[in-house]
Amino acid sequence: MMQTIIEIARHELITQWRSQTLKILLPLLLVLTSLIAFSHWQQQQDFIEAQTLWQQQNDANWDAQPDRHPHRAAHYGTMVFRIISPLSFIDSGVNPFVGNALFLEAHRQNSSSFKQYVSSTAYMGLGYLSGATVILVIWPLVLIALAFNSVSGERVQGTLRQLVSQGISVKQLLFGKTLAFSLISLVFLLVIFVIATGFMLQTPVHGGDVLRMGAMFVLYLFYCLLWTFTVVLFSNWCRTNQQSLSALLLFWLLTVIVMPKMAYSLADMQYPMPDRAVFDIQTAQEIAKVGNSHDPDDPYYNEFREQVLAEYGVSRVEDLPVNWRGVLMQEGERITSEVFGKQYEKLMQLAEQQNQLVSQVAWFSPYLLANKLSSIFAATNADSFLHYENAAEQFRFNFIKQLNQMHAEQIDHAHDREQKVSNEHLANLQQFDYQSPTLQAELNLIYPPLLILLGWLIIGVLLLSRSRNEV
Amino acid sequence: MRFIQFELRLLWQNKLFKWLIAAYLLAAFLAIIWGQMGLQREYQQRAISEANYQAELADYKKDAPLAPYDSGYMSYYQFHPVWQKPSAWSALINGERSEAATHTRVRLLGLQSQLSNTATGNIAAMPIGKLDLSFIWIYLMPLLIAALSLNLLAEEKASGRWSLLASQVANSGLLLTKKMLIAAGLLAMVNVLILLAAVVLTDIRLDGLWWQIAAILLAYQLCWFVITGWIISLQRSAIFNSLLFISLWIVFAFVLPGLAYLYQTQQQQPAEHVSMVFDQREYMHDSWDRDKQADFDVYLQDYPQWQTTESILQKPFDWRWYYAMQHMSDVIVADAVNQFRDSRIHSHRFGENFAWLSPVMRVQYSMNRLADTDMLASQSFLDQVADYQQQLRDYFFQFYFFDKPFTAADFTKIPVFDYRPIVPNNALITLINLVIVGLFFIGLILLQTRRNRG
Repeated sequence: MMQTIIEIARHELITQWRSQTLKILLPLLLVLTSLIAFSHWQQQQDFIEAQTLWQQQNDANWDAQPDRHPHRAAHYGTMVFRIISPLSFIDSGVNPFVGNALFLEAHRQNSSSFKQYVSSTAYMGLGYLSGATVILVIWPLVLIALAFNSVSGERVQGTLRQLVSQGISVKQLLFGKTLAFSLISLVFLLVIFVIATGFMLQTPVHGGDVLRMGAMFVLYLFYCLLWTFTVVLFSNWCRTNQQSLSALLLFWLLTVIVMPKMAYSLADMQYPMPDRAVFDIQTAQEIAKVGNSHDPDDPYYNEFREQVLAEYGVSRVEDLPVNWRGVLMQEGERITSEVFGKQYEKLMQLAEQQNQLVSQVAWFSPYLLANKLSSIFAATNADSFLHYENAAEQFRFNFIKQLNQMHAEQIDHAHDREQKVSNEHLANLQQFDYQSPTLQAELNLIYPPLLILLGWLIIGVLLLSRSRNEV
Repeated sequence: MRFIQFELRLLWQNKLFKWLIAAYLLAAFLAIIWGQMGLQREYQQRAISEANYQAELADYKKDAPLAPYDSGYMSYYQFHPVWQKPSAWSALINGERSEAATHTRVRLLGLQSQLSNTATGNIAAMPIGKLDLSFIWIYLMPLLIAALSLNLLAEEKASGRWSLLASQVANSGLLLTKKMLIAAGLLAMVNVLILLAAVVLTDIRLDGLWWQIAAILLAYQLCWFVITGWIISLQRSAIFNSLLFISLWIVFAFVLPGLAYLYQTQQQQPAEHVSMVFDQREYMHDSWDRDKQADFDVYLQDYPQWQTTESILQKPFDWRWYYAMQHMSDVIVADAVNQFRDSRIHSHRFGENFAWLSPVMRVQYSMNRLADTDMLASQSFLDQVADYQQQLRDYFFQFYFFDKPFTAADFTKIPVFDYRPIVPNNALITLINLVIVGLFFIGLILLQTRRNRG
């Protein structure tokens, strides 16, 4: 059994080796992918360097600032510059679409601004040109071009009848063909990953990244395998070569291009998100509902003042051992931050609902599943970006809190504005030290699409092994 | 005439043909309806921000007249909505509108840090992108054309009818051309139907713009028919035809746009425009530690229209100094802002020039321009917001610099932002481009026909 399969695979490989299609397509795609990967790797390194420099300059400016009033320093704030994942050059994920600089200041939650490049991505309607896109979008087309007639061709030419009469079952034939095309995919992926590894080795590599890269390789291999199953099965089901080719191209178009776009459009219609202006307005309205710290008659802040006074056992804010303005500022900050957090969570829930809807569609689109997993493995998915933004907001809150504390403790209430704290105190504040989540921490994101993908693979194997001898 | 009737009957009997046209129409209608819903949502969002704006102003108005110190406070807190008002066509041609915030709010503070706000929205959706009618037209219609006509000859040959037909008519190429023209005519009618449906279902009007877009669409369609015709003229197998067509499609729709983007980004330094916000912030906050009076004197020298103001600053705080420094923080990053604008425009222009090589890119650039959803529109919006902020400054500064109370009547005179789309102007170039590509492939066809005969 096994020997027959290997023999069929060997035979198919020889045929492919002699065919024009493979000779043209494989080198072309390898060159294209390597070129893209090289250029993206170079840009990635440039970007990481630029971001690091900005961060250093920001931190140096912070440390070198003159003595300042703590609230002045809180408005001056700080900037954080996102360092993209070292695997972005294979799968850029959301990177080209999001801002990478975040200004953190008192009272306000800014959004990440400044994309890596100013150029528009809108003209790449079939997908951003990256290594992952070539593998996930284009390589299936190559597999279709190579293998659409692998079985139907034998049938049309009558060689299938010969093979069956020699005692070879269609099942063996299908597995043999699958093996052959999987090997071709393997060669393609191996070459790309060897080159990619070469790039990776130019810089210090972390163990986590090696794991991630390995996971990407395995994922792509599974994905190619799934496509090989699909192509061989279609080729077996269809009567003519033309039928097989048309059906496969349509299948590719629907699952790789049309369904993903439709799913996101539908999700956007179903769960519309407020735009920037309305989101800002809603947040401001929610904050105003709690109270206005500038209004001397505001019920919330009056009650808060009574509480603080009672806590210290004094009757006037001037008698407090801490500076009332600093305490007030921190309470305002706490409320802004809390309300913003809630509003932002609502926004993210809408996004999550959209993505849930897309996940439903993704059951039938291996591309969507693989695309999602690939960006998770590359740490370039939307969640990893949001993880960063959340961490930055956490940091912002604590940063401003420490400054408010200085305000409360080191600035006297009388002549508040004219005082300053020494630059040393300010320089002592910790800068942002972001820890990206490990692959293990993201398992809950990885399991669902991975299991569905594996499910499809099993179905593929089942369908192959149940194929009957129809000649 | 009888030939056309016969061909139409033949097409009508073809199940695949019927299904494909039906699917195309359905997808197009869906895209129109979704697009229009999205556009209406934009208007709703704008209505929310306008209602909120008026309510906030009314709140301040209650305390009118406001003393300059209080109206100074108002300008610190009061955001003014700005909206890149979408054209009716943006419902069908989203273009680059989702890439930047098109509806946001600005106040009298340093502008650049306010403008760098990104759009809200589902980040996970961005790499995939959305389905709009322009995508169906530009990317999917070529495939439909291929499905309708690519294998006309090969199928006729396979059915054995071709030899019969070819023996009856003198010029078989002409016969094939006629058959293709019928398919093209049918698709053109379907496309006109879609365009008319857009007039009925959306705010699009049957005006000059409609005709321009219709002309581009039909030229684009013809262009792909000619490409298909060239492939047929090679007289190879149906399989070869399909593979060649799909390769061409991938090159035009994926490889060339991708390479163009790669080249555009290679021309840029990553993160180079951060200085717009970085330097602004440094300047703004340093100003608190500098000699405020000296800075203010310089400002009055630079802006003589305010010179008649009381030149001595109030202690401990003066809104005039505050807003002057906010303005100066924009002035000192003006070079960086210009660079940012230049890089965007340059990148856009490069893409547009590169589009000579790919009809797919060309039509996308052209449609985005006609629908006012491209980068030029987005940049014009940013420029107009800057102008608007200048108007706001000119307006509010009178009160702060000339010590005027802000009365109830003054609220109605606050400048209002009104986005003016820049005039579209590239339809002709697009048509020329499409004709050139068409002629190129017609030339190839003629060459091939001669070779086939010889």
